[in-house]
Amino acid sequence: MAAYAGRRLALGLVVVWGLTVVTFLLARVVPGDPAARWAGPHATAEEIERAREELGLDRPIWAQYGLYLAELARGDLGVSIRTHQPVRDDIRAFLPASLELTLAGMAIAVVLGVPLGVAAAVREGRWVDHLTRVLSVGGVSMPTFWLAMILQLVFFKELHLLPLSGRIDTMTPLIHPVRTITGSYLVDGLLAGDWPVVRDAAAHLALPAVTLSAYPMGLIVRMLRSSLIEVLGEDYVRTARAAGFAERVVVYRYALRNALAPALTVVALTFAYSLTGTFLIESVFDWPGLGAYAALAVLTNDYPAIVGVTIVVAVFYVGLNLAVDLAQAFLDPRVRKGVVR
Amino acid sequence: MTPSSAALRQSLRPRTAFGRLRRNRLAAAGAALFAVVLLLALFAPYVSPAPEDAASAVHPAEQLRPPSLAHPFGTDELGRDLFTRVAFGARISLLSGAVAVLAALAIGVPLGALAGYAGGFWDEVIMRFTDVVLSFPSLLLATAIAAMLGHDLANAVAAIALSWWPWYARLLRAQVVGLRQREFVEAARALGVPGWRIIWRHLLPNALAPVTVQASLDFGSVILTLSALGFLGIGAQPPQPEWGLLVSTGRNFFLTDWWYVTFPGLAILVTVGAFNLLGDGLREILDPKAGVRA
Repeated sequence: MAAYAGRRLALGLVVVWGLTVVTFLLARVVPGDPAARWAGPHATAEEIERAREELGLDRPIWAQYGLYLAELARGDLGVSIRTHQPVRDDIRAFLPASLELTLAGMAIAVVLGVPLGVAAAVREGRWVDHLTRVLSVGGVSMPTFWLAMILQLVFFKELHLLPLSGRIDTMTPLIHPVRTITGSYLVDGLLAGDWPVVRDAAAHLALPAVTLSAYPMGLIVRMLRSSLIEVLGEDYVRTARAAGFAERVVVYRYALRNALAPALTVVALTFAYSLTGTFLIESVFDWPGLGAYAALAVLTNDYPAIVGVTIVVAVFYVGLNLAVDLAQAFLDPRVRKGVVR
Repeated sequence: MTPSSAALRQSLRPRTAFGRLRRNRLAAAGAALFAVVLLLALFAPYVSPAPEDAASAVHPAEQLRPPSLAHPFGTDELGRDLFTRVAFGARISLLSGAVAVLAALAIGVPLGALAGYAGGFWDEVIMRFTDVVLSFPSLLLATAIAAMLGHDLANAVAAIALSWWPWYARLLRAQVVGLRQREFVEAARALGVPGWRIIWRHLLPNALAPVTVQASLDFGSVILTLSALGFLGIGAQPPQPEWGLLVSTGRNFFLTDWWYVTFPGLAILVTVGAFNLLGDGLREILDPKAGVRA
């Protein structure tokens, strides 16, 4: 296990180093002269020259890359062109709202996806299976930004059940001040036992979280269905059935446990994917998170912010990937012996 | 295996698989949906009520009309017929999607072939590089590249290709590694055939099938990504009737004029769904364990 973990960790480091190269290249493909952009539209030739020196752009490319690495190592992601704040501070300010949304979306995806996947596999070919397929194919085929608006039309405009957008009513924190602990209104409200805050926060969270859950839910259902069908055909499942175990025991105690592994991988990997998915829906719901920040950054050519968000989300993704691989190696000896995968 | 039996299997397999594909209901549904979209794209100028509305026409008297017989999908804020715009949008999505997938193949296939055939140092370098690119969530990388290249449709297509090719490099490498030790390749090498010719004449024709299948199924995801870039404002630009861009513009009116976002979004859903259904059907056929009742 230690040898496997060491190898996998080394590969992870190579990948992180590669990320710095790719993001450096990304920042370099920007059309036009970065020094001129930095100096502003009315800069003189001298000012542009000075900016070039300040930014280190007059040095050879490998030296620029070294400079970039040194800044990254200090956690310096540059200054946003749009907000004039360090990108690191911006990300720190916007990340909690996105994490809250992503976690809520993943929770919905797992809570709905796992039972649906099991039901579809156990009743393969019946109406449950067909209904589940419509849901899961729809979930992975639907543009999330479109689903967001359709849900707003139905639940806000037609049914008057849920608020249109935002994280919380402007009045709620004024009437019910709640101490910020986690940065999530829902969790902070729960910790304080303040029900009006919890209710309001949950109502605001519902539509964005359901929207975000559609894609991962579809993936989980599809993965789980196919892996469970495969496991249900295994000899040990037939043995368990022949031994007279109740079908419920066979499915849940024997088959599901082995079928869950691939689905868990999907869950972990779609987590980081969903964080990117927030790019598409946070602006629709006026959700003040990293996604809305990134969407504005790409629209306004805020290059440092774009690169900063890209690095942070990518490192997050690499970390999750690593965690999944290690967990699987821990659970399944065949993985660390290199027999499968 | 003798060459003749290999040739025989080559000639038999596609036909039987195609036969099974036709009988598979999922695949049939997917193919039917795709056919509808394809016909819409091909005959857009003939089936549209107002082909000139695909570009920047203005009809002040017809602004934001709900769906009717004259305008099946309603009209937009400039009075343009939305059915026309969605139909012409199908051309943009299908064509750009095809170009993006082909470009990704053009990058991934040679790299995968080289890595698989050469092995050793080049294999290591190329495959670690694909690992790095794959360690970005694909939508994130495509968004970042498209944002950096500048906002237009061609750049969005390039961004998708640049974030997509590692899948094909990986798949092709695996195929080539499997084929490299086979007798016909060793025979060619013993006869002194140069490496590039072995790759081109002997390895690629045998290795391309799974990559081609995968690429055609990825078409749906590519179109979905393209619409996302359009929605973010870094893909197609007005007055192009790209579906994601239509939904994005419609967002300004959607609470009062529901049809504006609804129909372009449905077009995306139907097109992407068609490919996902086809893919599911194909998997059921190719994997005998799936889809057979236990």
